[in-house]
Amino acid sequence: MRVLPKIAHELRCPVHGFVQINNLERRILDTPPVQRLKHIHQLAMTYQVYPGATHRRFEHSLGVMDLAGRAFDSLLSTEKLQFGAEVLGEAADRRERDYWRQVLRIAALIHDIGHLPFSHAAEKQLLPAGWTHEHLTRDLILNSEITEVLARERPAYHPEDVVRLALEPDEQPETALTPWQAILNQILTGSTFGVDRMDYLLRDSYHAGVGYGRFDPLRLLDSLTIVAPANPEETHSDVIPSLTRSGSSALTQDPESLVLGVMEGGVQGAEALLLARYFMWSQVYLHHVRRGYDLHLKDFMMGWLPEGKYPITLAKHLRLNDNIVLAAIDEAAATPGSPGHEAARRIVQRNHFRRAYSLNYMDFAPTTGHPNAARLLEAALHAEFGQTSVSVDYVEPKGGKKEVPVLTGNGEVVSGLAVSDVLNTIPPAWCAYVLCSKELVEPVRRFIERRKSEILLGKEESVKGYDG
Amino acid sequence: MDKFVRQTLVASLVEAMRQAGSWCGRTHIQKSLFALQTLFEPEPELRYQYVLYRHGMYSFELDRDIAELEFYGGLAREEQRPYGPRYAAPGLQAFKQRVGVSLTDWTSALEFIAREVGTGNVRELEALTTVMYVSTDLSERSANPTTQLKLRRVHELKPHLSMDEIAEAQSTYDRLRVNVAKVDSLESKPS
Repeated sequence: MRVLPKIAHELRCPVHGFVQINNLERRILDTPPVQRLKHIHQLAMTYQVYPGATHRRFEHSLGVMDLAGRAFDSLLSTEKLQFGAEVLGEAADRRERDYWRQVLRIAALIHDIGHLPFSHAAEKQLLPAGWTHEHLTRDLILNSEITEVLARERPAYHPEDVVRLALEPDEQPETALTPWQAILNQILTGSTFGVDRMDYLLRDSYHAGVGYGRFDPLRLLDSLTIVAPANPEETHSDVIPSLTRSGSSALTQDPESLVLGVMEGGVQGAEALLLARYFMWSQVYLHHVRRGYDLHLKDFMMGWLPEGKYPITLAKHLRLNDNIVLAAIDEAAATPGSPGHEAARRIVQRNHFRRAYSLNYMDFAPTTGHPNAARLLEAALHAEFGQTSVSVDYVEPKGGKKEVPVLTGNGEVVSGLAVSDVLNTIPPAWCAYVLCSKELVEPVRRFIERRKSEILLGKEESVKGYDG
Repeated sequence: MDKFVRQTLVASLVEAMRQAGSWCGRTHIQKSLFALQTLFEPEPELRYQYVLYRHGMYSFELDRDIAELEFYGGLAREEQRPYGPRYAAPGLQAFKQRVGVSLTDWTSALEFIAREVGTGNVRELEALTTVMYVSTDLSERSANPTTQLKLRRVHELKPHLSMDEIAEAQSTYDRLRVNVAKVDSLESKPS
């Protein structure tokens, strides 16, 4: 009996319905670096706050791949080429398009393979100075089974091209992306319309059970377009002020100036996306209990790993995942005196640090506080209560107003900030929590109430009566 | 306190640029600071890491610092619809006093950059900073790169810039390097 070979496969996804995957993508999916993502939580220990948030980077990567393909098809559809993308030679060449569409989907599928266990929780402290997980991602793309899979294809897919699209531009400073590559890189990693962000907002919202992260991805993808600003004051992809219709000036022949924008009907979709980002950051990603567990995870890893550093050899990286770390936490919690015992005990017994105080904007403003408020307060608290019992967790402002190019119905490209009151009012997300052990919450609060002005303003000014 | 030393430099540059009549949008700040680093070679605590991004030299670190400065009032964004925003530093003195950084030794250098670089338009700044990057990069790789080699390399990186524009930018860079020596001779080590 003849059995027809399968050339396409489908995987179910609670967020996107079905994710289509071809044979090449399936071979990459089956490699150890990608399979490892089944054991890396997308949101670290957020499940301690939102019990449903146990999803992994594996399904997120599949979702990003799916969205990347859809975004590519939408942006480079025949009808939309006239708005700016037609100046890109690759857009008109069938073979180039097919090649780069596949590279983009592969880059999307493997963009997270360098993540440490529990994702971002302790990256900065555990990796060598200047490193991020993207260094490991790059190494794996260039030196693992993935490289072999790509090389076996005819024609072959170049791993360096995958790196160019998978890594954020500032993680590959030595690489000058071509205009075409820069657009494709934006599709994946862009801070406004990148599909990585689109998927994780939807997925995290779904699994956490919060409604804030929802927006209409299909409508948004359908309305995305590549546009060319004709008189740019600013030319970074996220800040596009003065724009006119593409196709009407010499500068629109400039492929360097192409950026991602939305058609007029997609403005609300863009608003919803940016609002979703703000809400998810402030409600989920920066939740004070989650931040407390991040702190304990970091302390455990630094105590448990040899010399407090994550191994950057690929073989060792591939052996480390959340399961290994959780088993080690369990063991350490039960063994007094073992490396990381105290932090492990807090995690296992759910005796996490509590929030004693949240700094506010006035604490940071120079006239009423100090820009270094978080570190000044932390130093004073450490001196009073000891370094292991209290911590100030400060995350700098993220997001906020984002410039979005909008292609209007009459062919003009205008600034999103000029047509949308919503885009003008989205605040940045940030946090500055004073976290401490449960029994210290009241003493810490009283200390802050009594001493904050003097700590932030100095004795003289606090006596003058500035109210911090 | 490294972060606040750099942020004070940024806010001070913005102030100088507004005084000189610069539009002072984000791109102007990005490119002017790169020019300052190239011409005056400040010590590491005052430097930002730049990458060759789509429209010339760009620092993501600086982008984050501008956002943070805006957050706590070191910089103010002024919307200029339908154009993009421009920046000002109305809170500069309060900021400097609070973080305890003055950078008075950098005043002449900042005014020089604001006047000679910061008032250019975006395209001129892109050309100039790319010329600066290429000159530095090629000099590190070979002993005496010729002017033609440098111009060709810039054109390879930025094919949308004409050779005339690139040559003009090179000429501007040469002039700035000569004039920097006069500014620098007035400087003591930055505090």
